[in-house]
Amino acid sequence: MQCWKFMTTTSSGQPILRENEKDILMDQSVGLYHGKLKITNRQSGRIYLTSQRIIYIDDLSPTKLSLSLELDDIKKIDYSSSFLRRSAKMIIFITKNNNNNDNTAQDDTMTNLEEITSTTWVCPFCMVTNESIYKDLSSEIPTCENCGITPDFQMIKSSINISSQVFNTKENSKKNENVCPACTFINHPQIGICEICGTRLSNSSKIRLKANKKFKSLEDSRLQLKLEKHSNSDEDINKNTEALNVEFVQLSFRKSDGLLFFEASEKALRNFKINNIDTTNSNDNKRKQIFNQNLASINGIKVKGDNDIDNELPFLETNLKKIGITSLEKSRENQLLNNNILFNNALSDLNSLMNLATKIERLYRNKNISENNQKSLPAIPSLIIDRDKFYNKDLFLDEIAREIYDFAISEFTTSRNPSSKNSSKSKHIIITLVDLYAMYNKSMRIGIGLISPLEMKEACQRFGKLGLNELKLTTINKRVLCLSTSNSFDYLKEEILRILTDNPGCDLLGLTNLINNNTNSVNNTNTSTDTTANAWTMGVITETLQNCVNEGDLLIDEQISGIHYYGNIYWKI
Amino acid sequence: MNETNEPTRNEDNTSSGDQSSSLPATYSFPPLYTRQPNVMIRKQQINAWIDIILQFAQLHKYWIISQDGTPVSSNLSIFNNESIQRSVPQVFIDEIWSQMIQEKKALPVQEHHKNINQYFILWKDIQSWASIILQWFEDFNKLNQVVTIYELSQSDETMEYEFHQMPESLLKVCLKPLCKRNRATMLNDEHGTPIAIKVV
Repeated sequence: MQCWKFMTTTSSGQPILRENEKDILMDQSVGLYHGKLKITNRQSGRIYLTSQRIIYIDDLSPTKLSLSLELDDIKKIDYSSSFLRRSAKMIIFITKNNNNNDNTAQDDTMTNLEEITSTTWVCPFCMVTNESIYKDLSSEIPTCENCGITPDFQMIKSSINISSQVFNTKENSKKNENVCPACTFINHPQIGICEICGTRLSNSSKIRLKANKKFKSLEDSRLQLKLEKHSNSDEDINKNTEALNVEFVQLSFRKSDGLLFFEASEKALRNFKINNIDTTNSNDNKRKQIFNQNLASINGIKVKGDNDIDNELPFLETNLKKIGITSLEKSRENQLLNNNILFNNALSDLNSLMNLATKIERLYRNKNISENNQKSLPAIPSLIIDRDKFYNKDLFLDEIAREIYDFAISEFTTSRNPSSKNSSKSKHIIITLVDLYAMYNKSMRIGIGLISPLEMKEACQRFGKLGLNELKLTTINKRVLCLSTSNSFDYLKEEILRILTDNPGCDLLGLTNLINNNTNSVNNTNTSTDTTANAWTMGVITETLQNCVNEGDLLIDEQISGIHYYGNIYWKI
Repeated sequence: MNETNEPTRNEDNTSSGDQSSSLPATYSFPPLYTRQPNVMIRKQQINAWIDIILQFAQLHKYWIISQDGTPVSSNLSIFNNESIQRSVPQVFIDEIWSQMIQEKKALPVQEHHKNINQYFILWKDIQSWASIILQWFEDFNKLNQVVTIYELSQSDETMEYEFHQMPESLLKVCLKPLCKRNRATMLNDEHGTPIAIKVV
């Protein structure tokens, strides 16, 4: 649990970065896991990758619940892709700070005690007094911190002053102090990056550990981490205590696949490690980085160094050393490179999206097949009727005729109780073939080949032959083909006339609403369940109205706003 | 004349207020204003319109109503119902008029042998008018006397009778049946137009 740090944010919920820290990437809808357990209240937030940390900003209360994770503490990261309902996760392995490590660290300090001495020499060119940790300058002469020139040993021989004794006495106390190697500011033991100049404090983790050992009670009170518990049994509590010391944490990407984030953080981590080695290994390299960055050669002599890495990972370069137009140019360059990376990753994102789509399709098909296997289920039947499965068109048409029949029945009588099925009132269906065609193709045929209107008609004509007697193909007004149950047209007509005598002057829309609500209420009194809201489609009602008008049962009132319908009360035929 | 026009128009406005109330209930039934597609229904609808026009004309003594439904002395069209915001489309108006003429409930007004898109409204048919006029001749002992057409229309003696203030041209039409039955003879002026009548 020590790896999590409290993260200060602005009131608007943006992370406050340190000096020298650069944000690289951001992702949405991320949840945090410690080990395998969810961290409560940290399940929906944004995640920022910066050059130094991974920062979690909570969506609900960013000022209170935000966390950060030092890249310094990360051993390695791993990625597990999403699988069906499991979202993609990035697994972060934390370097263990247990007692064994601590002992070795202490041993290190003991052995290093004599090695670390302070040697001063004066640069013969700019007369600046330089400091070096090396005792023997004759073998390796450091570069001047001010002018960047490596002088001849003979020239500085006289000015060398080894003050190891003074340093040694200081050593013990200094070891426990968090001294910045660049500016010598003594930072708080908990801080890993110098507060003044932003330099990474290389030995801070050891010091921090010691400090933690000293003040065991010293824990950030703002950090309130609770793990989600699966059950309350004793074993699990033990497990939970174990879980606190678990060496990995996970980021769960709820919306994206997190691949881009993973790649970016992998790069950031690699870069960070390289910088780490640079700073700890030799002051020489560090100085080169600061003063002669990207230097290829001095006076024709090639300079050793792994600057290539810097070019490869442009986003970690600090702008501290450059000012003015150069820095602007550089940052622009970085931006372009970042964009490049982003675009590349976007393409891979697109790829993964396609994968996801095929996955969904597969899932859908699998589900259908499994549902078909369980024929006892009363759910909407969804056999996959693929043209290729049938030897000839007749068989295919028969099969889709059955499916259309089932579809129409289930679509327009869903959620009606069997008891209501016995009552004749609620079982009237009329659907125009055009509507049915669209609905059927949209909901049943996508992915397995749409059917043509002609096939639909032919299939509907087969109902009688197949012993499907409830629905019949009928023609309203001698022009509109409909599937309907017997007497349903007369029923609908009666219904419309009844409604119009109650509400004279209704237009088509009002009538559609009224009739559907009305049949609902009628059915509700019978069965107390909801019927489908659009049992009567507008097309059917239009045709029925047309029929009524032609027969003289209804009168029309044509206005700009539309046609209003009235019952024929004055001019009986 | 202009001065007297103003108050009459106002009277018309006030009377048009109860115009819809004095007319049958169908007058405020919106479908009346739309030509119904069903032929049988439409026949009844046109009959309803003819009844309304006759009733409207009789009530206000509008002898002449122009093609668009406005009486000569008013500017409110019968085909326009302000209270329910409906009006009859022109095509349907024409259909109503032609049906009305066919049924001899209306007569096109002719000036110099030309139609001027105005119609006499005959809430009584011409035979009835003729017998009413004959009745007047008998009641007022005007038999075998020459009576000018102007007298028939405007004199105080006809005040009690319904044909009072009937336009002269319409009166001439109504008197024709009497001539045909040889009950009356027309007296023409020097241009050959009838000016007076003598009932035997």
